[in-house]
Amino acid sequence: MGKLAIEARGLRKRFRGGVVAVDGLELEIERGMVYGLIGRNGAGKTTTLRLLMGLLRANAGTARVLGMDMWTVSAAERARVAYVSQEQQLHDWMTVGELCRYAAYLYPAWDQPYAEHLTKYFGLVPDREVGRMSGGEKRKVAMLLTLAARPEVLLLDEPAANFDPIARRELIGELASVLVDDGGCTILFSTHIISDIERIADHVGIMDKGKLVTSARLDELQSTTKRVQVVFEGDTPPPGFRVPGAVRSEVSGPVVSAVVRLEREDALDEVRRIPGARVNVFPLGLEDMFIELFGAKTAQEFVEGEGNGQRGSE
Amino acid sequence: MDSVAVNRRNATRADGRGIRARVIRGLLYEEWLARGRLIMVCMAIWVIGAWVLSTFTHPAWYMAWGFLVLATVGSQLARADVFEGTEEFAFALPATRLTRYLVRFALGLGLLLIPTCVGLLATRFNVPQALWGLIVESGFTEAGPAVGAEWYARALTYPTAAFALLFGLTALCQSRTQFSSTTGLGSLGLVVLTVFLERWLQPRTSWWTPFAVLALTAVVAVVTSAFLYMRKEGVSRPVRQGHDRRWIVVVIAGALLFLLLLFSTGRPSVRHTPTPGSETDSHKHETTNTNGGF
Amino acid sequence: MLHFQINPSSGVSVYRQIMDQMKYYVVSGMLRYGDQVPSIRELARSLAVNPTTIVKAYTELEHEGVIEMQQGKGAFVTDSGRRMSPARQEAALRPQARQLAVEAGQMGAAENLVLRVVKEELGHVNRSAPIAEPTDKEKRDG
Repeated sequence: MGKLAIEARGLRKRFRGGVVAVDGLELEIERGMVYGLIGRNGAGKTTTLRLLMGLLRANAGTARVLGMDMWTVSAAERARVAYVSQEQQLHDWMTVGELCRYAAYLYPAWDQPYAEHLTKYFGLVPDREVGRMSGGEKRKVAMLLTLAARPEVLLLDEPAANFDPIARRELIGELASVLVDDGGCTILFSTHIISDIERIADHVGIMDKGKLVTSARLDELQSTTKRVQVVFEGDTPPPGFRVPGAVRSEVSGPVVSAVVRLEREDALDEVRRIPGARVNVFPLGLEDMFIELFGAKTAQEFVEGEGNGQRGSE
Repeated sequence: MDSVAVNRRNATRADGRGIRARVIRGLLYEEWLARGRLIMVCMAIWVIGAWVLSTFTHPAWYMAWGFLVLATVGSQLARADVFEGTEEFAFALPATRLTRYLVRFALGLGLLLIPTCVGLLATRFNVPQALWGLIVESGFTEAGPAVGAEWYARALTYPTAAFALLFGLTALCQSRTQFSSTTGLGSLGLVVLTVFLERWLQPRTSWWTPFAVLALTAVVAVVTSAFLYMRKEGVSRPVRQGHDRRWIVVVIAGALLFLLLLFSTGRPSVRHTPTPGSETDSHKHETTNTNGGF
Repeated sequence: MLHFQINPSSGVSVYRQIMDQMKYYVVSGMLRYGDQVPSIRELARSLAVNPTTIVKAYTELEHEGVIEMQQGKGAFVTDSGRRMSPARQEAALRPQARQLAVEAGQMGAAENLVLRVVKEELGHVNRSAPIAEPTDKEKRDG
């Protein structure tokens, strides 16, 4: 058993109708990592998670969790991985208590005291049928089942969708507890709520059009990605001026504004040395970074972006 | 801090066979929760019909009961996940697809076969009547009519083969409408096949060929379907609120029953075709009846 | 438990934010020598952040002598930071001083202004917690 908890190589999935949801995905997640996957709707995050979990068959490439192919492996091995998704439905006619008993049979590592604690913590009634619960409560039940199964790998597809902010904070807090109790637990989750990633993830992956466009440590991404503003004295920047390491930049009069991946601390020194140039560096939150990378493009931005080099890829 | 991890490692190192047994128990538990009451109702009908009221004196009754079980419990077994839209959840659970398939199939098969076998034997030897004879003098103690081996074969094979075939077909369905059409067409196909077997094949071969062919077809269907099911992608389509086409199933089942009961009344070809098997069987029945009656 | 305000989106890493706040509490006297600080588990859970971030913050703080972690008992405030040798203090402060110098240079701020601002801030801090004078030994080592 290697170090990789989750591995995808050349993963490809094409749906009937021609939609290629995942197109040559390369992903490596080591044990113990907390990996946040972000991307626009339709980027292929859900499909990737489903492929990893063995819910969908890949057209090409491999998807392995803990070194195993979830399609072929035994129940005992499958119980080491737990999955929650946005679209899944639980059996409406089962109560929370019955679902827990059911799961206890299926997961050898099921932790009943923990399940009971979570039931109370999430504010669920053990005797109520799932069908009578609100959407958010159903998701909480699903999360409960996943966490109490004490898996080695958690695959979470938008786990906090439909959660009010309090429930979301509780969930992330609970994930943090799980990580304290079990440092070897690997978590891969996809989400639109970027602040959650900034809280709990240590690695970030950005997906676009079925591919993993960026994959990096979160703190490295945060420390090296900045918004840089260069103001020149004249009316326009010098011809052929480029901010080094810029991923996207915009020119407005004498102001060049760019989203930059800094290779080194002093990468901007050469810009600072240009006479008449004033350089400001602003920290860029992950959400802003994401929006900058994927927000609406104007023709000029596109041209500038092309010249300065495309999105960082690993 | 490591207690959880250690606990988990110990749990999974427990022997594989023990874990598989637990998984099967878990699946049965789920089926019990879902269909327990229905199963009990079917069993109650059997107990009352066969034993208490002694009405199941002709194997055709077992066929009827078998089709009832098929239409209610049997069809639910195959379609449950798809209808509820819970496939994504179910397939993400540890139990493998094959285990899930086999447990459900075995449950349905067991529910059909065991009471049918027991009941047919009881009918053959007039056991319910004998039991009643311990309590009363007449009425329920009357022996059943003399019936050829064919009918026993029919009662045993038709519901079971129908269950196996339909289960095999519908397990692969991805949506409600697929399920309805598959069941409808499947049932129709079965009726046609049965008619063909009985009318065309049987006179040309022996009395037991239709049943053997049906049994074989069922086995092949189930095995093939199991292999295909292992490859089934689990994505729940949104549960449709629209038409419930279950009535098609009921109509087909009813038509089936009707046709087969039609076969049982006034089919000179069966009675008069001098196949050695049936004649000796009827003789056997007459002798046992004289001995068995009180 | 004292409140820690974390903004994960600010662009300043979370562990840095925790460290800065812890140091502020210690320097301002709200956390005194011997006080217990929240356990890693407690803090991770209540702030809803990855525990490794907390571990990183606490390890750094321990390295800088602000807190010490006692096996099985928890984490407590120490005052050995104040007993840091001047050489170590200088090494710890220089990067921040450089940053200040660069920004000041960019703005074209006068040296007097910069020094005055620094002095004022030091004054605020010192009023709440007097700085310990280095012992003779430390003077020799520094």
